[in-house]
Amino acid sequence: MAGDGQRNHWGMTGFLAQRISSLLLATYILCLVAYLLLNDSVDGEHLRAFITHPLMFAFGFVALVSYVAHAWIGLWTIGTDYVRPHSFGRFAALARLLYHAVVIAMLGGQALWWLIIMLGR
Amino acid sequence: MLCIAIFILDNTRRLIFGNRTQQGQDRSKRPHLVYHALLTSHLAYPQVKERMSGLHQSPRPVNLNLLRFHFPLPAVTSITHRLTGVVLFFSVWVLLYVLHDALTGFDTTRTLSEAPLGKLILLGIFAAASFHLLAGLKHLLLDLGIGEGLRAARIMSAGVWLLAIVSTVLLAAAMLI
Repeated sequence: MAGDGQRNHWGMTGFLAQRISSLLLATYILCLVAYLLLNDSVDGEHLRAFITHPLMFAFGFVALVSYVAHAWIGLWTIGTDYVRPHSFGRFAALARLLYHAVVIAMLGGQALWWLIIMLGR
Repeated sequence: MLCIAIFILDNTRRLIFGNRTQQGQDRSKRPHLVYHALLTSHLAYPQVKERMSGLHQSPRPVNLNLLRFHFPLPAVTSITHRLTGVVLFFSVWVLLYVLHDALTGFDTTRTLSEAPLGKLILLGIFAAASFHLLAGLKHLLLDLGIGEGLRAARIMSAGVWLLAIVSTVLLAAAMLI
């Protein structure tokens, strides 16, 4: 794809998505860490109220989408680096396909589970 | 034992200060070079042995064994960033379970965080997250053009390791109390 001049903008999108999602994720995680640090004794009831507060829920959803994008780009990069003919010979294409399938299934499963946890209480 | 000690010390030195070995140095003044030559000679091609024994002062074993390479600290930081990313990808299952538990009573997490193995798992996830976050921050600074020089890269990498280790030790201390 890189050479055909039509779709070679994907790299820039991925680069930016990786950076922006990292900032969003870091903010969300630091929010949670700050909450845990500021509240000495973590009490389930308060934590529940904090996490499920509409604002934190929306932020959590943004963080979830960021995580999926971030993890996908990172794992995709790892795939292009290591799942190659160099190490997999003529099975490289099949190995890459399986690798992508597993990564997508895991990310989808994680996103789905998050939604089930947060919505299906 | 002495060999192992020299090996660890020498590699630590290389990791921190980089590989400052210059070509053509007198090997008798750098005993660890002889040691390295001995260590790698069985991996090298026969002609390298020839080279080492004779005309050339600098033994340069020809092999692509990654375990024999000396990686500078920024490179080690980079690969650890990648490694911790993969670790976190799997850890999300544990974190989701903790979230599920936190919303339905918190019982399992409380039990988990009291068992030694559970503590270790949570601490490991924290260590990976802390390192990944700090190394990612370093990456963002690099994107802004900060810390691109060799010296700055080494200092920033050392800072990433230091802060990650300190934060992990702090959490470990908090868990023990």
